[in-house]
Amino acid sequence: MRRGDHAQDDAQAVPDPTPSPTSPGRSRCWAITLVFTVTLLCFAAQLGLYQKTKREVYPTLLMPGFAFQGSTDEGVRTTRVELEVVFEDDTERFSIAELRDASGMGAFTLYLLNRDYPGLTDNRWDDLPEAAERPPPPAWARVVQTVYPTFRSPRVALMQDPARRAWLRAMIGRLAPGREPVRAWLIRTPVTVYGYGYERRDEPGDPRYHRVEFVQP
Amino acid sequence: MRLIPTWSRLCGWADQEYRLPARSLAFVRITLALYLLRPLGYPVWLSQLPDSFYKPPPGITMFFTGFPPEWVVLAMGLISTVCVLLMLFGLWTLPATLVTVALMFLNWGITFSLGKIDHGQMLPICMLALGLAGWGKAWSFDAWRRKTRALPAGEPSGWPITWLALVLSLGYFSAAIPKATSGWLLPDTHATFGYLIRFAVDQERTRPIALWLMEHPGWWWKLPDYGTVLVEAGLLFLLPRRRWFLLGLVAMLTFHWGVWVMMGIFFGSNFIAIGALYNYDRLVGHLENRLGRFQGKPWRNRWLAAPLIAASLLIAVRLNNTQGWEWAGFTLKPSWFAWMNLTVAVLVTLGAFAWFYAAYIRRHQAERLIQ
Repeated sequence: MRRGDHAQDDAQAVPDPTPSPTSPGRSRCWAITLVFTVTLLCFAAQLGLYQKTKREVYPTLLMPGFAFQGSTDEGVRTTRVELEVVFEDDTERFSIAELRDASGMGAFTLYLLNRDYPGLTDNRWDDLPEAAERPPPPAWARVVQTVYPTFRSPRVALMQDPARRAWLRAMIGRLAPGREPVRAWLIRTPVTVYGYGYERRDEPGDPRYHRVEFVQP
Repeated sequence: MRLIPTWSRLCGWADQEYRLPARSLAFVRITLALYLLRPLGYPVWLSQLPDSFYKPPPGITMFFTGFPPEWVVLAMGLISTVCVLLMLFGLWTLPATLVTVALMFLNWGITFSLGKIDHGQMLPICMLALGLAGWGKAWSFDAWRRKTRALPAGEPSGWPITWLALVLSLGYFSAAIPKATSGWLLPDTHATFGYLIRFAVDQERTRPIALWLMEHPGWWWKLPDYGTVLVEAGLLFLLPRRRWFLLGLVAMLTFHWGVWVMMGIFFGSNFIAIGALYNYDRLVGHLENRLGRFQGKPWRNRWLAAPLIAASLLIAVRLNNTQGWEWAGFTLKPSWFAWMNLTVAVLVTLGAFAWFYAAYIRRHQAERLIQ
């Protein structure tokens, strides 16, 4: 039995109308070689870029790496993130899980609050210069913009975008309906966990605070 | 014995080693189309986010500087619905597959511009491979039309399946490299245990089994560390022989099941891509025979059974889902788009039914006239 005839081998009970495979022709061989070579090159390029910059290209051929993050006999070091909101009459802390559920964005909330967007709850609303305007898009891009407004349009800087504050206010509104937030801090507390359900010890030192003051309407 | 295979032998291996029969590919096509119709939601919530959150990864979404308007997302969902239905019934199968794959990549590219890249890419990659292999060559309108026009059916290509196996093994290999080089293999570390702790503390994501295991630390926590790196890296070396590779995939399915149970991370796309590499011809043959007996007489066109069952399931599932959609953790409330989507799905399904039966009756009458 030839290799590759597994289809007929596996399906002896049911006759397969498919004829047995034959060797590919020369042009087909070239096509197969091209596809496999391009795939290998894309994979090598993506892997190399990721190793260097820790950024993945999308569409990606890579799988999540889950690199080792320091779990030894001395415990697991991590950071607890909480949002502390000052209301007019009270102060309350919300966990990352509560924020995740309130945002309606699932795990993407973690990235907004914790990793890629450190300025989301920062209080430096007006410190940074205005975002540089991009040159006007070409005519063909303007045609696309009639149906897709954000195609090659000037980028909005995170720190200058009043919408981020409105978004955060809306999220807090879902966590505490009917209560008006005055300001909010994002609290990052380094913790070392020695075992789940056993001892948990906060590390010495002040936690980092990111504060935002809400403008009263 | 040649140690270095020649170019033509390599091409022959790529074209033959992972070849699957048309009926097995068709079975995967219908199953996958049903799976895709169940969630059928596109992230409308993206359009309500501030554009300053838009931070695309290097790739196809870098041309945009903000999230798309709501109607674009809705249109993508609607086109995707129609294309998946076409895939289900095998009408213009390859173009419908390519459009669905492109929309999935674009949709995820926009979603991942929030900074987080999910790794569900094996689903569209699997669809692309199976579409190119010819998963519309059986149990489909396309096959029926070729038959009625007396055109040759053609055989499925083998190299796209081999390509899928290659991409799958490369992906797992890329996941093993950071682990192997960052400390997973050191004897005094517990990487898996550490991730479970992190998930519990950082995200408050725990599973009952994981909780119980975390309360019982021990030397055996090192076993999943070694096992993960071994399975992920080893798959690439099993690629030359399909039987070895399928054996490795069994270990990989066990690994994914463990991750699902312990961490709550469900790699559904990988389950599908792995499952697509198996041969379901024998299973499908039994199914056809049983359906033929159930009808009281052997069908002349027994392949009709699968799309009919699929359509019935489709209607049932779609009707059941109008109370809200669960997609990637987000619940979309019913809206005018949901009802419009459902209406289109039902109309297309009923149209397909009508087309099937009209063709079947015409052919049946013609055969009786000949007799």
